[in-house]
Amino acid sequence: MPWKTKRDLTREEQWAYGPIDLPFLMLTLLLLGIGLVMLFSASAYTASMESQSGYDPAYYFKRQAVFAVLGLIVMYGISRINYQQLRWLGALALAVSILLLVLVLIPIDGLSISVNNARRWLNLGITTFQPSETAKIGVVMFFASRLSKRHLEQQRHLAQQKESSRPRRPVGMLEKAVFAVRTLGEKAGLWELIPYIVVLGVIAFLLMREPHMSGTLLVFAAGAAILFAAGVHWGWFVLGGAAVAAAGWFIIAVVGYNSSRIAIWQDPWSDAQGAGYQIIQSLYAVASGGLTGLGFGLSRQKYLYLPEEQNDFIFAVVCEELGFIGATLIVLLFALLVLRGYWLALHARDRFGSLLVVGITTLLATQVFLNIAVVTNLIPTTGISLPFFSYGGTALVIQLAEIGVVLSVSRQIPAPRHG
Amino acid sequence: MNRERKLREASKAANRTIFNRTLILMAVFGGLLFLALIAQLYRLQIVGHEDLEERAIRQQTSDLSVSALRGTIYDSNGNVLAISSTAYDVIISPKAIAERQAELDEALVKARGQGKDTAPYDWDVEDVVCSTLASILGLDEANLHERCQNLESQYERLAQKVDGEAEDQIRALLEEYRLTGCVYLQPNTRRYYPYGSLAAQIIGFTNDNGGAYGLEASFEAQLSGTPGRVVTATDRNGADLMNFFQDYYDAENGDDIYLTLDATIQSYCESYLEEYCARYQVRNGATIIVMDCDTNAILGMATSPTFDLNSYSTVTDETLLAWVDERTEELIDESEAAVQAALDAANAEEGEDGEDGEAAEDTAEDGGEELHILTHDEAYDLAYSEAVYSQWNNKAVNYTYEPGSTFKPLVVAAALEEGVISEQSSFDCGGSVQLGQYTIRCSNRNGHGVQNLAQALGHSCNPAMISISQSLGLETFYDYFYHYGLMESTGIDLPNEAASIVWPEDSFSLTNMATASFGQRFQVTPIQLINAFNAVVNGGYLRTPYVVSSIVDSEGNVTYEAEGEVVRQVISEETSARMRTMLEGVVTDYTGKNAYMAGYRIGGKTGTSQTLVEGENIVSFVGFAPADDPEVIALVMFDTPTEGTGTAVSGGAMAAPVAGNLIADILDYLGYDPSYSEEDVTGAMVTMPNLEGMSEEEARSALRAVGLSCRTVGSGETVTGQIPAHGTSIPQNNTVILYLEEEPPTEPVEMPNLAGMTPEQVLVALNNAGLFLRATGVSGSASSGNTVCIDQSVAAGTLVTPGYVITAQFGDRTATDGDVLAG
Repeated sequence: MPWKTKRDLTREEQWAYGPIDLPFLMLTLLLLGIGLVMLFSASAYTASMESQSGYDPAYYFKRQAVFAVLGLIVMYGISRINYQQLRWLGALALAVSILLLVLVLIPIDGLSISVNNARRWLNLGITTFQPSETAKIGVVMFFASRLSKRHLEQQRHLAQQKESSRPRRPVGMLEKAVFAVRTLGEKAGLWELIPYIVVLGVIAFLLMREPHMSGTLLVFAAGAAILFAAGVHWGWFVLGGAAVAAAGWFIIAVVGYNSSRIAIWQDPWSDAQGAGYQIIQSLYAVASGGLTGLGFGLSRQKYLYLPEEQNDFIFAVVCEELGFIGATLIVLLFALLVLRGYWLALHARDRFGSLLVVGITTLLATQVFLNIAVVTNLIPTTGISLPFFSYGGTALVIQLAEIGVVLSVSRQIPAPRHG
Repeated sequence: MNRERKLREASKAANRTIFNRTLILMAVFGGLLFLALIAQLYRLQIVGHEDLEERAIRQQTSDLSVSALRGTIYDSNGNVLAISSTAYDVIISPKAIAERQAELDEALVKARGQGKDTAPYDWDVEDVVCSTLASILGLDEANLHERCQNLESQYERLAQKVDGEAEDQIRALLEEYRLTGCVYLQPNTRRYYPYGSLAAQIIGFTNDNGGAYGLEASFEAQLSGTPGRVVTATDRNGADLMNFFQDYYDAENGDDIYLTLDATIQSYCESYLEEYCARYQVRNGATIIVMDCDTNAILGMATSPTFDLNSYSTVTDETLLAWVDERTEELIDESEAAVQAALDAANAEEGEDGEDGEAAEDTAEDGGEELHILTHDEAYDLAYSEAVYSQWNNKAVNYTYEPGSTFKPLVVAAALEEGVISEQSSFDCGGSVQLGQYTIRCSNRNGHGVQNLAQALGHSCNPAMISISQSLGLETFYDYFYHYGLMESTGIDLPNEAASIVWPEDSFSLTNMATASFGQRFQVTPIQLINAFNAVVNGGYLRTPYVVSSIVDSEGNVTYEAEGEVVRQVISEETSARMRTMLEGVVTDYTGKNAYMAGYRIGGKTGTSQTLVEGENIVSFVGFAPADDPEVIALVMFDTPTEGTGTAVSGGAMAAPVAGNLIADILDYLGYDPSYSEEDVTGAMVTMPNLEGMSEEEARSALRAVGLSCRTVGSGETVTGQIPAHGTSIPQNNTVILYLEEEPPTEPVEMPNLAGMTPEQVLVALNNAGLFLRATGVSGSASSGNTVCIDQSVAAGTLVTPGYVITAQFGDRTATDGDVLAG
């Protein structure tokens, strides 16, 4: 392929080769770097005690580092892709994700992995993979691409309405009901919501079968954020919130699933050696940090007390070693990354780019929030990892790929006019 | 076009919507959520920090207590009376045993798979642990297996304070089977009393909770020290992370205590008690107190029956064991009577009800509590435990008695001090005194006639004492109870000092005073009596007695030093000196003559008193020496000696000889040279000079020079042999033998029986046999027809070498103290 100079590029292509957003990239690299180092600190003792890691203290660190490099390559590669290509990829990604979500539920030896009665993972040989990860990005791409053309659909609806005769004043019960439904469906936008609700419903159904509470939450958060940004009537979100609250109450009070989890959340010490053990250990770690922390590498809780210390509960070790100051700093770095993400969404070249970045940023923000909220017992425990910190190769690569998408969008932000 | 414009407007509107809505999302997801997180972090890391970190540290560290070594107890010369050493508690961890077994099983399967030798893995951990420990520790193996079933447990204590061979065997077991973690030895301390029973009631003993009795209990705070801690960081499995975090808090060892007791003096006291309690068949125990006259430091304090501190719950005293048997029968009889009474009551009731119920033969219900006739074993166990408790009692301090005549010097001293009598006062004793409806008799029914004060005291004359007390008057007399410290505890640093029992001041009557004047009908502790008596003879100073002379902490700093604290001066120095003179007279000339030891100026007073129990008498003697400047004072007291042991039941006959010998032994030990009075000179010890080669004349003059007389054997000119050999120390009143050109005999001679002989007869009998006499006991002038030999240092019939010096003790077996109760 002959080398193309900028002059040879189409305008589209020129846009796609604009500069990536440095603040967003730097924040990402910073968090990734800190995350890696903290992973090493958190996992070293456990690794040195485990036969599966060959008693090598750096086992987890090395593997994560390899995936980080891989992820950065993927990120860069994706940032070079013109994100407009993702418009049509959205539907495909969604379809594949749903297929994978179905696949993961089918017990196949050597492919699907069941841990603690949860079927969330597919075995890829060298690593494992959660279909929920692709489902999230699939939903984001699909929603963003469809909703970026929302105004066109609305125009079409308006045109159709004009063509048909103006409705008569409703007479009789039936007509009144039909009128009300039509008003709800058209004016309040119920009809336009149906495809999204179906998609979210199917994915949520499949995820809850695994079961995968936190994955479901993330998919809902990202989907809802895009819907919200795209301008769907706010009333639906109020209704949705109410529905979620009702469902939550129903699950807790009637079904009983998670109810022990709620009790443990309210008082972990009610079963200190059982269900409450993990969160108690996490709280010990977080609180032991105090203002300035015990110092890097000096966590005590990582000495086998804190389960999942290199994974979902790595932030507890961060808090213990770096203290309130260090932990807050890292929270602020995440906040800055998220804010920069939304800033990029605000300035994206087109609606698709905006909605794409809103989805990805919201995903990231929600995941960070849920993880730290779990670790600090702000919400009941649910299995959720911390982006850039928790051990998990595939998840890291996908996270960085998402960052790559945001960076790709950032390339096409028009440079501010200088006057 | 309209449509396109509309579209463009719609597009712009859509963009605006997205912009606005994204701003809202930004505020919520980029702001609010993170603020919530930071708030929660603040709540945990700043607000909840201390509480949660403390809990975290509790689980992250293993906090081992390091026991502090208990302080040592020394006597006044630095001899160790009580010392602690490290011993080990044996602990097993059933959990670790199960884990070790799982490891082994795994290794066994692997070895089988690989075709390796399976022997190293093919054994049962629990079996090995249980069978070996059961045999080493003498435990029941089945019980050990049972305790191993508690798999949750990591701490099952099998035995305490194991040391020596058992400890070595367990260590070998640990090494051989690599059982570290499954079985472990936890350091503990063990208390050891090198002298066994010496000063048992004073030193006391420890149990698991520390000091339990005696000084061990009352000085627990000083002796116990502060345990140290080793705080080690551990991982969840309990493995030490020593490079990570380890803190030592050194144990602070307990303070050492130095007593005023002298092991030698204490052992004198105890061996006299043992010997004489057996001889007099003393039934209710006895005590001896020896005190330094100038400081009131206790030099010796013995109680009989006694016990071995190293096994304090074992009764070894034979009298006490005999009592246990008696008591066993008594308890059985009591229980029979109780059951019978209950049955009678039940039958009576049934009779009323007209029912013909069959009552159980030997059981009856009484208020829900089942009465039954004790089996012999049950009764024995009860009696035995009563005996165990009673042997721990320090009779010198925890017990009160009627002092009897030993109280009289206190009354006389008070009267002299108050000036109501003098040495020249005369007291007429007609044998009894009529006091209201009571007749109080004197020991001498015929009366002592007219006596001066010294004679009255010497005779221990009751009518004289009543008259002295009457001249003091009720109020002054009672005041002296206070002055002598008899109304309060002495404050001695020993636990559980008993309180005296004295009439209330407002109901103290003339009759009360009459009996009090000769020491009856009120009770004081032996320590109170000797302490008050000491005030009479030491110049008048009442001091606080003490047994702890100093406390030294583990770094060698003296943290406490006792000084005989003067409570008050009761009588003047001058009165005290007059009392000493009279009390020395009591020993040389009167009722205390059995305490006389030639060369030691002993003063003292006898006492015999009846207790509230019919037929139980207490005999005692308080003696001090040297009489001119007292160094030591001793109280010897036997509670209820048996009549008919050949010695009259009286302080003079029983306690005085013991006190005299004891005081002489102590003064010898303390290095006081005996000083002989004119009268004693005949009995003074001299060294036999070397006379060989001298002429008879030269030899006689050489002997005269040292005050010895001689007889000669043979008819030569020159002395060729002598008995005893030169350098031998013999009393002057002996007659030595000179051999003039004749061989002295070397054949052993048979020891004659001296019992019942007068001093003169003894001297002749011994000298004739080529033996020599060292007489102890009653002095020459006090000796009467009643003074006979009561003890000899070599048993009759024993073969002894000629020239041997035999010690013979003389005494008056009929001596009385004039203590007869009002009748």
